[in-house]
Amino acid sequence: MLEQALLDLEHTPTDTDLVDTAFRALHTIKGSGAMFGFDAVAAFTHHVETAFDLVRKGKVTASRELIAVTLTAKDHMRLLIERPEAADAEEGAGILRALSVIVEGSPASPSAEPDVTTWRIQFRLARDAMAMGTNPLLLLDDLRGLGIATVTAQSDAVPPLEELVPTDCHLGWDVVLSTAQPRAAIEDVFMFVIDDMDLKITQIESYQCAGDTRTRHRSRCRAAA
Amino acid sequence: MAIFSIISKTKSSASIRQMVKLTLSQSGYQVFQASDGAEGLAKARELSVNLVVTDLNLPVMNGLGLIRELRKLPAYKGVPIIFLTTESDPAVKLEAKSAGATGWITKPFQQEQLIGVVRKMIGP
Repeated sequence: MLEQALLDLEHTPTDTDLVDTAFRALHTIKGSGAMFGFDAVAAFTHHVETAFDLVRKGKVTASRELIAVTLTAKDHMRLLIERPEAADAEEGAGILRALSVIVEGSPASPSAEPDVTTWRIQFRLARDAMAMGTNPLLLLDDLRGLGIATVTAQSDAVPPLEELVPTDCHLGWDVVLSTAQPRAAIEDVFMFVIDDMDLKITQIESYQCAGDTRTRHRSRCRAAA
Repeated sequence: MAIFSIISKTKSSASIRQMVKLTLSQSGYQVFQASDGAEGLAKARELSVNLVVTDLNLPVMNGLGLIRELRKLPAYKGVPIIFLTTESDPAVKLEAKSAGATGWITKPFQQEQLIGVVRKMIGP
């Protein structure tokens, strides 16, 4: 996914959808790496993600040089995941130095992206929400539509199978959302259920994850690269 | 996807009834209609739909009564029910939610608002 987005970006460097795709892929790799203890991947990818965040915000141009270095960085990330013993730390440092030089010397693109805020959204619906017609997956889709979201299900309240009522909603969700939309847009997602649910929306400084280890981030990490 | 719309044929509701039918049909939904709460309940027992849109002001059986009865039907467990209301009073919305409604649209509304709420309920 990341590689294809970068290759397409070479031909259309002002395509904001491609920039978003590349950023999301880097974000996923970083977060998944952190969650599963691939600290070297997370740390390395953080710098590449930061560079693409600047591209998203219009502060850096998606130049051929930036794309070329990012493709090299992608190969290094894959090595760190699949064969960390073969990854050369000096080579990684060299890639990041080249990235830094390109980012610092790059002119801003004409149309700047609006500021992005990261929110942590923790919510639990009423037990009978699904029986009353609310589909939690559509709420999550609405949140994803606002920006870049990482969703983690909270299954601590799911009862044993023999006690489970299939139409009851036992799950909670922990969503980290980076969006240019105001907080009110997040609240609007829950407009029909807000009076009957637990909802907490907190602005956070950087990516944080709820840490549900049953989320399949490893495969997403590889697929994103 | 199929949507069941229960809106009366009275002079004050006829245009909304027609607008709802037209808007949903043009957006690709199969639309079934009834014009009062009792007819709505009888038809509901025969239909399999993905969403119900009902006015609260209905003859014979009002919208609140219809919603309560629909929620007693096993086939309507989990089916979203949207009600149309002129009231911005939170008490009306609370009463409808307590009866089993999922969401609402405040009259008057534009076609885009109707489609927006429908998609919020059952997806694009």
